[in-house]
Amino acid sequence: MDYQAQVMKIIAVPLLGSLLIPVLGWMGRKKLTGYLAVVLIATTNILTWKLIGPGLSGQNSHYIYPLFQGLGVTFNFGLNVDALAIFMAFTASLIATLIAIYSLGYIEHEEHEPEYYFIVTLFVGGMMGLVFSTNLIFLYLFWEISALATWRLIGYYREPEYVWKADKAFLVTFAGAVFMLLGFGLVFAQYGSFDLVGPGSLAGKPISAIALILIMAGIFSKSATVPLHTWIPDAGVAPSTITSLLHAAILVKIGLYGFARMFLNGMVIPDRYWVWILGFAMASAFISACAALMETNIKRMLAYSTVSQIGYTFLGFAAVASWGYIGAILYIMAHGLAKGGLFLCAGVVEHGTHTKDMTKMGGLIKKMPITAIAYAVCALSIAGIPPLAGFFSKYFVITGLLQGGHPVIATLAILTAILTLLYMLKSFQLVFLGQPRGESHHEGSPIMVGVVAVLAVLTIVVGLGLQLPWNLASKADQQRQALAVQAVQQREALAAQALQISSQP
Amino acid sequence: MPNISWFFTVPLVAALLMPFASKVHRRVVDGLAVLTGLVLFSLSLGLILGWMPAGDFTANEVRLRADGLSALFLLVINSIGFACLIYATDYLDHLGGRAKFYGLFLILMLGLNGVVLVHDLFSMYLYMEVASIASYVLVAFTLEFDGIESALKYLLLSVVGTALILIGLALVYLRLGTLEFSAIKSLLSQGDMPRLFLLVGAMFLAGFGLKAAIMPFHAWLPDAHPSAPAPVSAILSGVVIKVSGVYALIRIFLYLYPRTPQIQSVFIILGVVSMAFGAILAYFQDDIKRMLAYSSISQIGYIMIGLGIGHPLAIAGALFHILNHAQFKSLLFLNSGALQFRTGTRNMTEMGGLESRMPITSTTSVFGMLSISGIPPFNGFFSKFLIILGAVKAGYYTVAALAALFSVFTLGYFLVIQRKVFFGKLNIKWKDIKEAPAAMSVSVILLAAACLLTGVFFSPILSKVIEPAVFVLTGGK
Repeated sequence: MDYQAQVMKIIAVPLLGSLLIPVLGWMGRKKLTGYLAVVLIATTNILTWKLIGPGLSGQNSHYIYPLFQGLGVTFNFGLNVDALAIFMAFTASLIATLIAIYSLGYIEHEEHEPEYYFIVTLFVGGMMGLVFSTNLIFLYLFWEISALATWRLIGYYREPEYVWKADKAFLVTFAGAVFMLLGFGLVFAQYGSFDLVGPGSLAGKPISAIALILIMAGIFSKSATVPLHTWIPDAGVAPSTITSLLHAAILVKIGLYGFARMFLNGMVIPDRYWVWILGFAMASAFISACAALMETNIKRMLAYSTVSQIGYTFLGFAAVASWGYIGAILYIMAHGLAKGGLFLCAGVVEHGTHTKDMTKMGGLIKKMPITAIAYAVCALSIAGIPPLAGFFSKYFVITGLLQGGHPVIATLAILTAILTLLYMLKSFQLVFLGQPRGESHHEGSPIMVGVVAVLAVLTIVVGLGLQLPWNLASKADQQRQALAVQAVQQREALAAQALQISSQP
Repeated sequence: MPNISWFFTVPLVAALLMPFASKVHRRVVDGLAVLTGLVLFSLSLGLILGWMPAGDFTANEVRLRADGLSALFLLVINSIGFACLIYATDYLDHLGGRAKFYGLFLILMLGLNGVVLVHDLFSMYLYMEVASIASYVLVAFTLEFDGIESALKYLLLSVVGTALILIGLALVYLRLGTLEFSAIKSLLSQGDMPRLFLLVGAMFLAGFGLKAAIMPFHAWLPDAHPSAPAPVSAILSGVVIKVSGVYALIRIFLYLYPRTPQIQSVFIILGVVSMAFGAILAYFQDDIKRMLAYSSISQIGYIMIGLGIGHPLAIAGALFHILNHAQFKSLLFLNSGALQFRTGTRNMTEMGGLESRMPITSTTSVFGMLSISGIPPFNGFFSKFLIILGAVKAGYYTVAALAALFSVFTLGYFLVIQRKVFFGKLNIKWKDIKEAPAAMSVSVILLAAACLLTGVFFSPILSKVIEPAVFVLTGGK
């Protein structure tokens, strides 16, 4: 079966469609821009449904389009349709659709509305491009579209301090990405290709330590992993829809996805370096969980929690074991839904109370019952309470760590999970329980509360009906293992060849 | 049937017609100037696409030759010249002296076209002087104090450079008895290079390096480029330094001279110094045009690095960067001109939040910023990436890392422009200003579109425009 046209549509609809939004803005139809954005992003999501069936039946194909050949270099554009890509595209576009719908209620009275919807749609387009790309240059291209979008979106309110923080986010992620590009250059100098799959590609090629460090700088800066995380708590100055988009649906997931795509389904990290990645991920998860416990600004607390959960997901990938891999993929979905819900709840709360300081809130459960329940469900999912989605993914990651032979890290991961439960309960207690502090509060608009409720329900549904995402994730794992086996065979063949040559008289 | 001599005759005839046209109506002058720009731009496109015969043109002792390298530079000169001429039609409203301005501008373009088309060192020197003299006057065109002062500074420093070049020419003629490119090339490639040519090389490097504003020969540029009228700053930074400086360096050191490691390392060292200090000094400027001027020095550094590395990929990156830098730097200078036109200042701290008042200027300047900092899919990414890739492939890891690091710096100081000028709360002082006039907006939109499209369609441009130029230098295919 041929899926190129479908994938092209998934990338083109948001990417090219986004260009219509500023046109609408110039025509003075600012009201319509939001609806157009919702339609475009929802269409993207619906287009991904068609791929789920093939994904479940083990679809794994790639298409290479040569672009330029000459000067001793080949640039290709490559598409890659496998279970991991399908899973990611579906999850990201689903959450992005919900956030776009929520924006209709949230962004209503703001200036710069067309720009907001333009960038959000472009952002989704960049994400879709990234997910299906299998060439490092195009991976980088789509990667940078998201950096640009982050910059415009964080500075949305145009306060001098906010713009400064937007610049910081742009610079940190760009610096990381540039060094990642340098790493790509080193890989290219060694193997002469930018393709991750296909004949003569990088698949199964071990990379050097320097290239690994450079590429990890890009991944860690994008995924806000300690020590390159400081921009993400600052990004909380953006509207809640945007922080939600950045944390849950798209931005930080780019680093995770890129890691899985490049190092678990393409190039190979030599075994002795894995322990470093585990160490960084664990440190990141633990330190930022402590930071989240100390934080009283609700959005900064949630941001640190994201850093912590991203570290957790990296642990799953870095365990290099089936359980860990499946757990990490499910984690992307579980965390996306729950963290998306939490930020949108924070948006409702902020709209109602006009503060982000949790110590000035309290007793909101009476005024905002639906938001409170949704917050509780999402918070418990992040903390890993059964039967919510977050529990299973966390459990699988820890199992994966044990399977991969890292009992110490697994213990620390459990400790971090306890910390997570602690700060989540603390925040719920501060915001929703106790005596009301501050002035009048009201529940958010129906559209906002509706979206929040949907995210909470999805968190429960994914937890109870884990079978479907599990199937897709385990297909992705099978595909990863097949590649790994192939890589080992390749290396053995090469070694045998080298032996033969050296043994000749 | 047009041929390559039209690159001289068209601007020359148009420049001569200017005083007469100004007797009719000022719109006729504008029309004539823009039409000339369009014709020249079409000619350069025709040359690239093969609609016009390339190769030699000989008539009355005049010998011209257009190879791949010349074609690339002709495209750069005439496309940017065209955009600047469109822009000038509205910009000159507050300056006056239309016919004189266009006349000088077209003579500047004639001189630049001449530099890249001639086939011997002396004619190259001659046309370079034609272009230089036109640009001295254009820098002082506002007749304000700092314009005249910096034009004089430019003139005096250039004279030192041209004196060195002239002595170098004399020495070459003394030793080889010819100044023709092909003769010099074949004489130099036989056997060992005479020691004298190291001295000659140093003179050419200093002379043309001064024209290209490579550090430490850059002192004139941060004064001359900001005080000129915006379309002149745009062509000076986008084109003139590249044609009268970098093109000559390429012709001499990558085409005529046999490649030696010494020359390569000199290029790389000068390139890294220019790239680094240009970027660092740009960061501390408050005057938007001065910042752009320092940024030009920094970007010329990138080009020098690419040329010095000598790997075909890096040379391709450097040549591509010449094309791209011309597009985005002219765009940014024209943007700054629009700001000055409306607000009357170049000081960025006085501006603020202008995006809501000048959306076209703001959006196109974001395009320019993304291009110059090397963010895909804009054009600057591909050229910088090729330079870095070439550096990695040739084993210059430190240079590659520095080039990557300073592209972060570049983004850093362009974010300063965005933050102070466009992105933020509107300074109430400017609540009544309007977007730049139509012609100025059209011109920047064309350049911004060029930045994006050159990036998106990098592969046909690499194979049609850049590769032939690289083959001239590497002798491939």
